[in-house]
Amino acid sequence: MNSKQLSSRRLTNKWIVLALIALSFTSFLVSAYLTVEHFLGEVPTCTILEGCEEVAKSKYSQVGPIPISLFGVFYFLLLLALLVFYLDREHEMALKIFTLFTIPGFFISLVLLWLQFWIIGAVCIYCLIVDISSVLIFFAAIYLYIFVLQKKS
Amino acid sequence: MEQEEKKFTKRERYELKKQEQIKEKELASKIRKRKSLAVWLGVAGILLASVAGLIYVVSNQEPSAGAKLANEIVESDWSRGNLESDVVLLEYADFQCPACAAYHPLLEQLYSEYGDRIRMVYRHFPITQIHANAEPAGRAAEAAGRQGKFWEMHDMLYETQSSWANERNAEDKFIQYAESLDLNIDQFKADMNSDEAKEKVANDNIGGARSGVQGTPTFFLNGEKITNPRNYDELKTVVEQALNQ
Repeated sequence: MNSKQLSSRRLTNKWIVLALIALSFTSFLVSAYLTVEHFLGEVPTCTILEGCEEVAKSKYSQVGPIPISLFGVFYFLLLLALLVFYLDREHEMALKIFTLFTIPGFFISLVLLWLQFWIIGAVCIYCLIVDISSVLIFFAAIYLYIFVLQKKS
Repeated sequence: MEQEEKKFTKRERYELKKQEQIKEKELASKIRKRKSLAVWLGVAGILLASVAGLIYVVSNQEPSAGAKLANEIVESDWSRGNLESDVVLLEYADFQCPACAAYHPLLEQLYSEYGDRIRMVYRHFPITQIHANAEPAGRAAEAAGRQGKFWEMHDMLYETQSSWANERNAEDKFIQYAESLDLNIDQFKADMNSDEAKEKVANDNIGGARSGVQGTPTFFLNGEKITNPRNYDELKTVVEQALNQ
């Protein structure tokens, strides 16, 4: 690979990391919103899709007393920290750990989507944003991981 | 100057250059550390500001008066008063909510004064996130209702709220209340834990959320959400207005 190709790849790499930061930040915000609503005893108001009430009030929205969205807050916070660390230090290990963490996120999102569409029979737009983000984050992370490995080899 | 430089030996010049390089490296590392600190502080600041902003916005959301009741009143709703009346006051409430308990005497007064002219409906809206015993209390009222004593249990739950609200086994208290209401205890226990009671409370809850209920108590007068009256006179005024329409 010549230096021109390498610098072009580095640029793409950086853009993907920035997109991952944007997705993780959005998902963090949405999860934080749902968590705040939960602890204030309120129900998120839906404008685009109806069904937030069913999803937010269903038994699947929490694990014991802990709302699922709170797990989302910590998960996306961790992803953000790893991405910022990678950008700051260019430490490949951060990217590898990041990719590893996106795997459970991807599968949990698939389960949550299945619960919404097939079990609860209602879709919450906020949950949908977070779930789709998790899926996109997973695929982008895999792409980046392969790309980083390729660069290394 | 040139003369001074000439005074240094080759080795000294080498050492000097090495020291300069070390200094440059230290400076670069210092700048890098500062840059890192700025990045992390910036990220932490953005995250904290976003969460603080969210909490502020969510907690300052104005409850919208005028919203419509999503689920029409049906036979399975708990009603009292004049069931034929065109004026219907529906309350979404949580048995563990102190504000609901505070409104209870007002509603009792309204019932004794206007019970022959208006219909009063109760629906469950347990805020389970902060009231662990609200949902079981709702089921207890449902179970008492199966034996024709919903309103008696409703009154008792509000009047004794402070004694069971923080109980670990509130259901034991509810059973005691059922005993004092002369209910069939085995039947009461079975009904309280039945899927029907759970579903009834859950369906009321979802209906409330669909109707834009954000907290308890929330009142709907003739299907339209009203601002919570601050005292009995205000409550009486809105009911009078509806009766005169």
